[in-house]
Amino acid sequence: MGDILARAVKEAAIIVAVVVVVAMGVNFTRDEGIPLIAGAEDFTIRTNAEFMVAKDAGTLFENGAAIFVDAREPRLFEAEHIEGAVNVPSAGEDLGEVAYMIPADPVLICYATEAAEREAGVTADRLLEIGFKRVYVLRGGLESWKALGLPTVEGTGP
Amino acid sequence: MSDAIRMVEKVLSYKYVVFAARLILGVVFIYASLEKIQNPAGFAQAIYNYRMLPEGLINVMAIILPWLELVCGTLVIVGVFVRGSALLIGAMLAIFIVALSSALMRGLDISCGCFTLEGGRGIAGKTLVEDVLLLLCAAIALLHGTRVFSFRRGLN
Repeated sequence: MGDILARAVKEAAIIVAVVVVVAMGVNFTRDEGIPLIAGAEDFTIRTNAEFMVAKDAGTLFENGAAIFVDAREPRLFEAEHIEGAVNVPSAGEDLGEVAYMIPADPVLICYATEAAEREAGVTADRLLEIGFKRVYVLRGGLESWKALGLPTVEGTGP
Repeated sequence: MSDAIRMVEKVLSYKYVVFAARLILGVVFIYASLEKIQNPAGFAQAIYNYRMLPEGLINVMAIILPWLELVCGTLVIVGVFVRGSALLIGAMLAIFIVALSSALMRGLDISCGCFTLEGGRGIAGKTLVEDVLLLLCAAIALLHGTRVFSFRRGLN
Protein backbone atom coordinates (compact mmCIF):
# COMPACT_ATOMS: atom_id res chain seq x y z
CA MET A 1 0.00 0.00 0.00
CA GLY A 2 2.74 2.44 1.02
CA ASP A 3 4.74 1.25 -1.93
CA ILE A 4 1.85 1.92 -4.33
CA LEU A 5 1.39 5.39 -2.89
CA ALA A 6 5.08 6.21 -3.12
CA ARG A 7 5.13 5.24 -6.82
CA ALA A 8 1.91 7.13 -7.44
CA VAL A 9 3.36 10.27 -5.88
CA LYS A 10 6.48 9.99 -8.05
CA GLU A 11 4.40 9.59 -11.21
CA ALA A 12 2.09 12.41 -10.15
CA ALA A 13 5.06 14.75 -9.69
CA ILE A 14 6.24 14.03 -13.23
CA ILE A 15 2.73 14.57 -14.65
CA VAL A 16 2.33 17.86 -12.78
CA ALA A 17 5.73 19.10 -13.96
CA VAL A 18 4.92 18.35 -17.61
CA VAL A 19 1.40 19.78 -17.35
CA VAL A 20 2.61 23.04 -15.79
CA VAL A 21 5.08 23.56 -18.65
CA VAL A 22 2.50 22.69 -21.34
CA ALA A 23 -0.33 24.73 -19.80
CA MET A 24 1.83 27.81 -19.25
CA GLY A 25 3.33 27.50 -22.73
CA VAL A 26 -0.04 27.23 -24.43
CA ASN A 27 -1.48 30.06 -22.36
CA PHE A 28 1.46 32.27 -23.26
CA THR A 29 1.15 31.69 -27.01
CA ARG A 30 -2.59 31.77 -27.61
CA ASP A 31 -4.90 34.74 -28.10
CA GLU A 32 -7.27 33.62 -25.33
CA GLY A 33 -4.40 33.43 -22.85
CA ILE A 34 -4.88 35.17 -19.51
CA PRO A 35 -2.33 36.93 -17.27
CA LEU A 36 -0.78 34.72 -14.59
CA ILE A 37 -1.76 37.00 -11.76
CA ALA A 38 -5.20 38.56 -11.69
CA GLY A 39 -6.52 41.28 -9.42
CA ALA A 40 -9.99 41.47 -7.89
CA GLU A 41 -10.90 44.10 -10.49
CA ASP A 42 -10.57 41.45 -13.21
CA PHE A 43 -13.49 39.55 -11.77
CA THR A 44 -15.79 42.18 -10.41
CA ILE A 45 -18.13 43.77 -12.87
CA ARG A 46 -17.73 47.47 -13.45
CA THR A 47 -20.52 49.20 -15.25
CA ASN A 48 -22.30 52.53 -15.18
CA ALA A 49 -25.60 50.75 -15.73
CA GLU A 50 -27.81 49.76 -12.84
CA PHE A 51 -28.59 46.19 -11.93
CA MET A 52 -31.99 44.59 -12.16
CA VAL A 53 -32.97 41.29 -10.56
CA ALA A 54 -34.65 38.59 -12.66
CA LYS A 55 -37.99 38.99 -10.90
CA ASP A 56 -38.32 42.65 -11.92
CA ALA A 57 -36.98 41.91 -15.40
CA GLY A 58 -39.57 39.15 -15.72
CA THR A 59 -42.38 41.58 -14.92
CA LEU A 60 -41.16 44.01 -17.60
CA PHE A 61 -40.85 41.05 -20.00
CA GLU A 62 -44.43 39.98 -19.39
CA ASN A 63 -45.67 43.53 -20.00
CA GLY A 64 -43.52 43.87 -23.12
CA ALA A 65 -41.92 46.90 -21.48
CA ALA A 66 -38.25 46.09 -22.04
CA ILE A 67 -35.89 44.89 -24.75
CA PHE A 68 -33.39 42.24 -23.75
CA VAL A 69 -29.85 42.50 -25.06
CA ASP A 70 -27.72 39.36 -25.06
CA ALA A 71 -24.06 40.36 -24.66
CA ARG A 72 -22.57 36.93 -25.38
CA GLU A 73 -20.98 35.76 -28.60
CA PRO A 74 -23.38 34.76 -31.44
CA ARG A 75 -22.63 31.02 -31.05
CA LEU A 76 -23.97 31.09 -27.48
CA PHE A 77 -26.86 33.38 -28.41
CA GLU A 78 -27.90 30.85 -31.05
CA ALA A 79 -27.82 27.97 -28.60
CA GLU A 80 -30.14 29.71 -26.13
CA HIS A 81 -31.32 33.22 -25.37
CA ILE A 82 -34.12 35.05 -23.65
CA GLU A 83 -37.22 35.09 -25.85
CA GLY A 84 -37.26 38.25 -27.97
CA ALA A 85 -33.68 39.23 -27.12
CA VAL A 86 -31.31 40.87 -29.61
CA ASN A 87 -27.63 39.96 -29.76
CA VAL A 88 -25.04 42.67 -29.15
CA PRO A 89 -21.81 40.80 -28.34
CA SER A 90 -19.58 42.66 -25.88
CA ALA A 91 -16.56 41.91 -28.06
CA GLY A 92 -18.04 43.27 -31.32
CA GLU A 93 -18.21 46.72 -32.81
CA ASP A 94 -21.65 46.51 -34.32
CA LEU A 95 -24.69 47.48 -32.27
CA GLY A 96 -27.01 46.04 -34.96
CA GLU A 97 -30.67 46.90 -34.88
CA VAL A 98 -30.41 48.31 -31.35
CA ALA A 99 -28.75 51.47 -32.72
CA TYR A 100 -31.99 52.46 -34.48
CA MET A 101 -33.91 52.45 -31.21
CA ILE A 102 -32.14 55.43 -29.61
CA PRO A 103 -34.94 57.93 -30.35
CA ALA A 104 -37.49 55.71 -28.60
CA ASP A 105 -35.14 55.18 -25.62
CA PRO A 106 -36.55 51.82 -24.57
CA VAL A 107 -35.66 50.07 -21.34
CA LEU A 108 -32.72 47.84 -22.27
CA ILE A 109 -31.77 44.90 -20.07
CA CYS A 110 -28.34 43.48 -20.88
CA TYR A 111 -27.42 40.01 -19.82
CA ALA A 112 -24.85 37.25 -20.25
CA THR A 113 -24.36 34.21 -18.07
CA GLU A 114 -23.65 34.63 -14.40
CA ALA A 115 -19.99 33.71 -14.86
CA ALA A 116 -19.68 36.19 -17.72
CA GLU A 117 -21.64 39.05 -16.15
CA ARG A 118 -18.78 41.41 -17.03
CA GLU A 119 -19.71 41.01 -20.71
CA ALA A 120 -23.21 42.29 -19.97
CA GLY A 121 -21.60 45.27 -18.20
CA VAL A 122 -19.42 46.03 -21.23
CA THR A 123 -22.36 46.01 -23.64
CA ALA A 124 -24.47 48.06 -21.20
CA ASP A 125 -21.76 50.72 -21.01
CA ARG A 126 -21.55 50.92 -24.80
CA LEU A 127 -25.31 51.42 -25.01
CA LEU A 128 -25.15 54.17 -22.39
CA GLU A 129 -22.30 55.83 -24.29
CA ILE A 130 -24.26 56.10 -27.53
CA GLY A 131 -27.18 57.77 -25.83
CA PHE A 132 -29.55 55.23 -24.29
CA LYS A 133 -30.65 56.31 -20.84
CA ARG A 134 -32.49 53.35 -19.36
CA VAL A 135 -29.94 50.54 -19.49
CA TYR A 136 -29.77 47.76 -16.90
CA VAL A 137 -27.70 44.64 -16.28
CA LEU A 138 -29.57 41.48 -15.37
CA ARG A 139 -28.18 40.33 -12.03
CA GLY A 140 -27.25 36.64 -12.08
CA GLY A 141 -27.56 36.42 -15.87
CA LEU A 142 -29.36 33.80 -17.87
CA GLU A 143 -29.24 31.36 -14.95
CA SER A 144 -31.30 33.57 -12.67
CA TRP A 145 -33.78 34.12 -15.52
CA LYS A 146 -34.23 30.40 -16.09
CA ALA A 147 -34.39 29.72 -12.37
CA LEU A 148 -37.68 31.65 -12.34
CA GLY A 149 -39.00 29.53 -15.22
CA LEU A 150 -38.95 32.49 -17.62
CA PRO A 151 -38.80 31.58 -21.34
CA THR A 152 -35.74 31.14 -23.53
CA VAL A 153 -35.52 30.13 -27.19
CA GLU A 154 -32.93 28.78 -29.65
CA GLY A 155 -31.86 30.17 -33.01
CA THR A 156 -30.48 33.30 -34.61
CA GLY A 157 -33.71 35.34 -34.50
CA PRO A 158 -35.14 37.17 -31.46
CA MET B 1 -17.68 -9.52 8.25
CA SER B 2 -14.13 -9.89 7.02
CA ASP B 3 -15.49 -12.28 4.37
CA ALA B 4 -17.78 -9.53 3.11
CA ILE B 5 -14.90 -7.07 2.98
CA ARG B 6 -12.78 -9.59 1.09
CA MET B 7 -15.65 -10.14 -1.34
CA VAL B 8 -16.03 -6.40 -2.02
CA GLU B 9 -12.25 -6.10 -2.40
CA LYS B 10 -12.30 -8.96 -4.92
CA VAL B 11 -15.11 -7.42 -6.98
CA LEU B 12 -13.45 -3.99 -6.99
CA SER B 13 -10.15 -5.44 -8.16
CA TYR B 14 -11.75 -7.53 -10.93
CA LYS B 15 -10.02 -6.43 -14.11
CA TYR B 16 -13.15 -5.35 -16.00
CA VAL B 17 -14.35 -3.35 -13.01
CA VAL B 18 -10.93 -1.72 -12.80
CA PHE B 19 -10.90 -0.87 -16.49
CA ALA B 20 -14.48 0.44 -16.34
CA ALA B 21 -13.46 2.70 -13.45
CA ARG B 22 -10.50 4.02 -15.46
CA LEU B 23 -12.66 4.54 -18.54
CA ILE B 24 -15.32 6.46 -16.59
CA LEU B 25 -12.69 8.68 -14.93
CA GLY B 26 -10.94 9.31 -18.24
CA VAL B 27 -14.05 10.19 -20.21
CA VAL B 28 -15.44 12.46 -17.48
CA PHE B 29 -12.16 14.31 -16.95
CA ILE B 30 -11.38 14.75 -20.66
CA TYR B 31 -14.90 16.02 -21.30
CA ALA B 32 -14.73 18.35 -18.30
CA SER B 33 -11.44 19.84 -19.46
CA LEU B 34 -12.36 20.83 -23.01
CA GLU B 35 -14.50 23.92 -22.49
CA LYS B 36 -12.27 25.16 -19.68
CA ILE B 37 -9.22 24.92 -21.94
CA GLN B 38 -11.08 26.84 -24.65
CA ASN B 39 -12.18 29.58 -22.29
CA PRO B 40 -9.66 30.17 -19.48
CA ALA B 41 -11.11 33.58 -18.63
CA GLY B 42 -14.57 32.07 -18.13
CA PHE B 43 -13.15 29.33 -15.95
CA ALA B 44 -11.21 31.89 -13.89
CA GLN B 45 -14.48 33.74 -13.31
CA ALA B 46 -16.16 30.47 -12.27
CA ILE B 47 -13.37 29.84 -9.74
CA TYR B 48 -13.63 33.43 -8.49
CA ASN B 49 -17.37 32.97 -7.92
CA TYR B 50 -16.61 30.32 -5.29
CA ARG B 51 -14.86 33.04 -3.23
CA MET B 52 -12.35 30.55 -1.85
CA LEU B 53 -9.00 31.32 -3.46
CA PRO B 54 -7.08 34.59 -3.19
CA GLU B 55 -7.37 36.50 -6.48
CA GLY B 56 -3.65 36.15 -7.15
CA LEU B 57 -3.93 32.36 -7.44
CA ILE B 58 -7.11 32.15 -9.49
CA ASN B 59 -5.59 32.56 -12.96
CA VAL B 60 -2.76 30.09 -12.32
CA MET B 61 -5.38 27.57 -11.22
CA ALA B 62 -7.55 28.35 -14.26
CA ILE B 63 -4.59 27.84 -16.59
CA ILE B 64 -3.22 24.61 -15.09
CA LEU B 65 -6.23 22.69 -13.75
CA PRO B 66 -7.99 22.02 -17.11
CA TRP B 67 -4.74 20.70 -18.65
CA LEU B 68 -4.22 18.51 -15.60
CA GLU B 69 -7.74 17.13 -16.10
CA LEU B 70 -7.09 16.48 -19.80
CA VAL B 71 -3.70 14.83 -19.34
CA CYS B 72 -4.73 12.69 -16.34
CA GLY B 73 -7.97 11.69 -18.10
CA THR B 74 -6.01 10.58 -21.17
CA LEU B 75 -3.28 8.74 -19.24
CA VAL B 76 -5.73 6.87 -17.05
CA ILE B 77 -7.45 5.48 -20.18
CA VAL B 78 -4.38 4.64 -22.26
CA GLY B 79 -2.67 3.03 -19.30
CA VAL B 80 0.44 5.14 -18.83
CA PHE B 81 1.23 6.41 -15.32
CA VAL B 82 -2.16 5.09 -14.21
CA ARG B 83 -1.39 5.36 -10.51
CA GLY B 84 -0.03 8.86 -10.69
CA SER B 85 -2.99 10.02 -12.77
CA ALA B 86 -5.46 8.32 -10.44
CA LEU B 87 -3.83 9.99 -7.45
CA LEU B 88 -4.03 13.42 -9.09
CA ILE B 89 -7.63 12.85 -10.17
CA GLY B 90 -8.44 11.83 -6.60
CA ALA B 91 -6.79 14.99 -5.30
CA MET B 92 -8.73 17.16 -7.76
CA LEU B 93 -11.99 15.45 -6.79
CA ALA B 94 -11.21 16.04 -3.11
CA ILE B 95 -10.72 19.76 -3.87
CA PHE B 96 -13.97 19.87 -5.89
CA ILE B 97 -15.87 18.16 -3.05
CA VAL B 98 -14.56 20.65 -0.49
CA ALA B 99 -15.33 23.62 -2.77
CA LEU B 100 -18.83 22.40 -3.62
CA SER B 101 -19.70 21.57 0.00
CA SER B 102 -18.43 24.93 1.17
CA ALA B 103 -20.42 26.76 -1.53
CA LEU B 104 -23.54 24.76 -0.67
CA MET B 105 -23.13 25.51 3.04
CA ARG B 106 -22.65 29.21 2.38
CA GLY B 107 -25.75 29.13 0.18
CA LEU B 108 -23.88 30.56 -2.82
CA ASP B 109 -26.09 30.72 -5.86
CA ILE B 110 -23.42 30.18 -8.49
CA SER B 111 -22.91 27.92 -11.44
CA CYS B 112 -20.78 24.87 -10.80
CA GLY B 113 -18.13 25.41 -13.48
CA CYS B 114 -17.79 21.64 -13.55
CA PHE B 115 -18.37 20.75 -17.20
CA THR B 116 -19.64 23.83 -18.93
CA LEU B 117 -19.05 27.50 -18.27
CA GLU B 118 -21.94 29.04 -20.19
CA GLY B 119 -25.48 28.68 -18.90
CA GLY B 120 -24.06 25.93 -16.77
CA ARG B 121 -25.86 23.98 -14.15
CA GLY B 122 -25.96 25.22 -10.61
CA ILE B 123 -24.36 23.45 -7.71
CA ALA B 124 -26.39 20.80 -5.97
CA GLY B 125 -26.07 17.79 -3.73
CA LYS B 126 -26.27 15.64 -6.86
CA THR B 127 -22.95 16.98 -8.09
CA LEU B 128 -21.39 16.06 -4.74
CA VAL B 129 -22.69 12.49 -4.99
CA GLU B 130 -21.22 12.20 -8.51
CA ASP B 131 -17.87 13.44 -7.24
CA VAL B 132 -17.86 10.92 -4.39
CA LEU B 133 -18.60 8.08 -6.86
CA LEU B 134 -15.78 9.31 -9.10
CA LEU B 135 -13.52 9.37 -6.05
CA LEU B 136 -14.32 5.67 -5.54
CA CYS B 137 -13.33 5.03 -9.19
CA ALA B 138 -10.08 6.91 -8.56
CA ALA B 139 -9.34 4.76 -5.50
CA ILE B 140 -9.91 1.59 -7.55
CA ALA B 141 -7.65 2.90 -10.32
CA LEU B 142 -4.97 3.88 -7.82
CA LEU B 143 -4.91 0.51 -6.04
CA HIS B 144 -5.55 -1.88 -8.92
CA GLY B 145 -5.32 0.25 -12.07
CA THR B 146 -2.12 -1.30 -13.40
CA ARG B 147 -3.57 -4.82 -13.54
CA VAL B 148 -5.17 -4.42 -16.91
CA PHE B 149 -4.32 -2.65 -20.20
CA SER B 150 -1.43 -0.84 -18.67
CA PHE B 151 1.81 -0.05 -20.47
CA ARG B 152 3.91 -0.11 -17.38
CA ARG B 153 3.51 -1.10 -13.82
CA GLY B 154 4.70 2.17 -12.48
CA LEU B 155 8.06 3.67 -11.71
CA ASN B 156 10.49 1.74 -9.60
